[in-house]
Amino acid sequence: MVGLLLRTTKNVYVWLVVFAFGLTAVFAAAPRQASAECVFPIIPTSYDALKDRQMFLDTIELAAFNMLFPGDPYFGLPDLKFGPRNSRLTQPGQIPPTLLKAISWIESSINQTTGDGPWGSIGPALVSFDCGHGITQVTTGMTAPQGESGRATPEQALVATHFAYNIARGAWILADKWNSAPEQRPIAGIDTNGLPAIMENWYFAVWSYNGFTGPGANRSNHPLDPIYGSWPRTPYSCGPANDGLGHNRANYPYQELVFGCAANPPHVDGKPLWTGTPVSLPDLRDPRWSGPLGLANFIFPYSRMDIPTPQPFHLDPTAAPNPALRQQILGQPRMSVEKTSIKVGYSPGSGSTFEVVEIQNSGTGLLTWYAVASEPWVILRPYTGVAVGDDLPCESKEPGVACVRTGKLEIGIDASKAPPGTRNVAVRLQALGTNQVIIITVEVTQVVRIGAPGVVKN
Amino acid sequence: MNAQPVPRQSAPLPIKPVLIGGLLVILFFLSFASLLLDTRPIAPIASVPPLADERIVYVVFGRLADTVYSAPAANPERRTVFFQAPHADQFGIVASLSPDGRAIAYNALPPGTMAPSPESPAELWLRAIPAGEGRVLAGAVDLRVRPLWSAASDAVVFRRSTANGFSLYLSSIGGGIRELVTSGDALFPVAFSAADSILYYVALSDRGSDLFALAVATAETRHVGQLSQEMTRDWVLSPAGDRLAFLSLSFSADRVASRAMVFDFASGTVSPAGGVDADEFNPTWNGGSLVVGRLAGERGVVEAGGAAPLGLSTPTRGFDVPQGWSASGTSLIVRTFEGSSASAPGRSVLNLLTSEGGRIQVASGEVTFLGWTSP
Repeated sequence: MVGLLLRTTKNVYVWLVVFAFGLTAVFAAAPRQASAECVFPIIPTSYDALKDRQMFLDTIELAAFNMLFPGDPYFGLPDLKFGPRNSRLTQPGQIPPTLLKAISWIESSINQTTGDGPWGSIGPALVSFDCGHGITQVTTGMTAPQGESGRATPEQALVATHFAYNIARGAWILADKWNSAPEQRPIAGIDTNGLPAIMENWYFAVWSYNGFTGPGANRSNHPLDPIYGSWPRTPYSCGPANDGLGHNRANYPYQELVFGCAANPPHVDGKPLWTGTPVSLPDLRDPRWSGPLGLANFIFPYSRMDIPTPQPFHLDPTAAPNPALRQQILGQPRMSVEKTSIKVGYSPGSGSTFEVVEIQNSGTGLLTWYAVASEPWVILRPYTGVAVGDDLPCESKEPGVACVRTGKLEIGIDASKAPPGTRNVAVRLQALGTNQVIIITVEVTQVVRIGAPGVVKN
Repeated sequence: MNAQPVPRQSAPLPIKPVLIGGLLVILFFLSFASLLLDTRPIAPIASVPPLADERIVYVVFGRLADTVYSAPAANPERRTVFFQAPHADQFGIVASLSPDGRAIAYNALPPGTMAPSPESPAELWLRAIPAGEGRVLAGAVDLRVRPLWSAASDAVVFRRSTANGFSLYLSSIGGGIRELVTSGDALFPVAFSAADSILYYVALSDRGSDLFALAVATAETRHVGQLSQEMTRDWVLSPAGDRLAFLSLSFSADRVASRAMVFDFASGTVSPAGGVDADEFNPTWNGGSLVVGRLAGERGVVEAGGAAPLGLSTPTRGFDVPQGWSASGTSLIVRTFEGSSASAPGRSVLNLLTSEGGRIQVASGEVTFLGWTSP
């Protein structure tokens, strides 16, 4: 009788495990699959601020003045070159903030996530079809994982998940485009020493941000390319639809979108996101600008495309932000988890249970967590994401339901590759940008069905 | 057949009136007989519709959807909506009206496209007008290359970008897609010949703009001629198919101008449309005559290629860019810019100019003219 009871109990256990597999398969939130050939096979989570974008705009200003991560080789601004073609000098890196804001709006409407959730919430990171990530749509270095074992590096994880690092990286890329002149790009502003303080002198750098492609390319940003439907064309505007200017992005080369947006900023809830700053485009009626843009000159390294500063020129009136803003935005994340040991079962040919580890940020700011397993057959999905500190706005998807500030890491096993038996493995959880590490111990148990029904061997 | 009256012996008959009268009677009976014998429907006699019957078709851009309108030329305010075309955020459709005026083909980025860009794969849609369901003819098309209709309105040419370059495809509206040509150069479909046997297209490269002819049946191509060593645009085939007008850049020591040029198929030569030193825009054929928008100094007018005045109204400020003539050839749709140059054109509206010198605003805002239709 007892034996029958024990056998029955084991049967129940087996069926519970099987049922658990099924439940996991049915009820586990299906992670969003990434675009093919980008860094992450499963898109990580990220965080979007409030609709007014103020926190992101403040972050852009910090990045533009190199006040976010100065000195960091990946996220800090490099020195910028200026001067004649054959006698270049450098100065500390600074980008006109209005241009960086305009680029961010053109790239993503200044969104870090897909917008599936409300403003001020965690959601899937924004990834475009060509692997552009986040607010500044960083594509360079984001088309394939560059870390060990086919994983993203911590830097790639930060670009995808944390708005500040994404903006900083976008600013770095723009500065890098600027510094591509004169070896690989023409100079705008040969009559003004190519000074980076002059907004018009960023013409070719902005063009390059979207691809320095010329006539005939599908991504052509050449202003005279016939792919732009109408000639002449009304200037572009990010502003209200009834301002009489153009709003159809398909009709403009990239640099005209950015310059137009800088001058005519978007409005959110009736308020412009920044003070419009006019930026002059090259006068294509004047041979000084049209001549260099001729087809015959569009040949690498484009040395015959140098142009004087489009007139009239402008300086960005945006003042440097308060340095205290940096700490306010980045905060001091503090990572914690509810459990540091979990159990996962798997069955070859059937699959694995998945345990969810919730990751909290009991500090401030946005925490990017990054998980690495000690064995390659441990599944982590996703292996990076965010957790939101109490100081950041957090909105709920449903009324009456608390918003989600925690990150969720699912841990399972690749049943086709795991060795038989029971063993412990470790998942190392790191808060990127800090020294915080938590080790999660995973007890992995193989469940095997043999011979007679109801008999299970562990 | 003439009937000869039998001469009388008595007084001489008035031969001519009798012959004419007899002829008329015979013709009447023959017509009546043909009606009885011929059961084919009688085709209406072709006629030029009066302006009152002609309608203007245009697209108004909207952030998430464009609206296609039809407006009577006689009273553009009484416009009606043909349909709305949803699209990706801030990327409008690129459309063209079929020559028979019964359908619109357009490229659109699907709504909800994440972080859309001009390079995002677009869809080619077909929609019958005035009322018809839309359907997708092809995917992965280049958004900004306007679909080109065949002369018979039974097929559309579109472009795709691939790793190898660019390809033009022919999509039958009844179904079926055929690749026509692939090149590393950027390809722009220009026009079909009247019988749809030839597709003309321009290839743009660092060598300039070259015109090619593709035999539709065999997909064989031949180089027709080089239009310019620079970029060209706004290519339009004459109704007779013997000339191609387009815009090209003209460089001089002190200025650069967009100039209307004409390629003559017979001679293979390119020549300016007119001898006027001015910025010219959007050459448009009116029968065998070429019309361009011209801006010289502060004065912007629509003139014939040879700078002959057309008697059309001129804007009080800014300049007009012709878009398309009505079938009657007496009215012209223009885009009127308020600015003073191509580099600073300012805002624009769509206007209708009549041969009597009238100027009627059709629509304002971000509007694209598609064409004329008549009932």
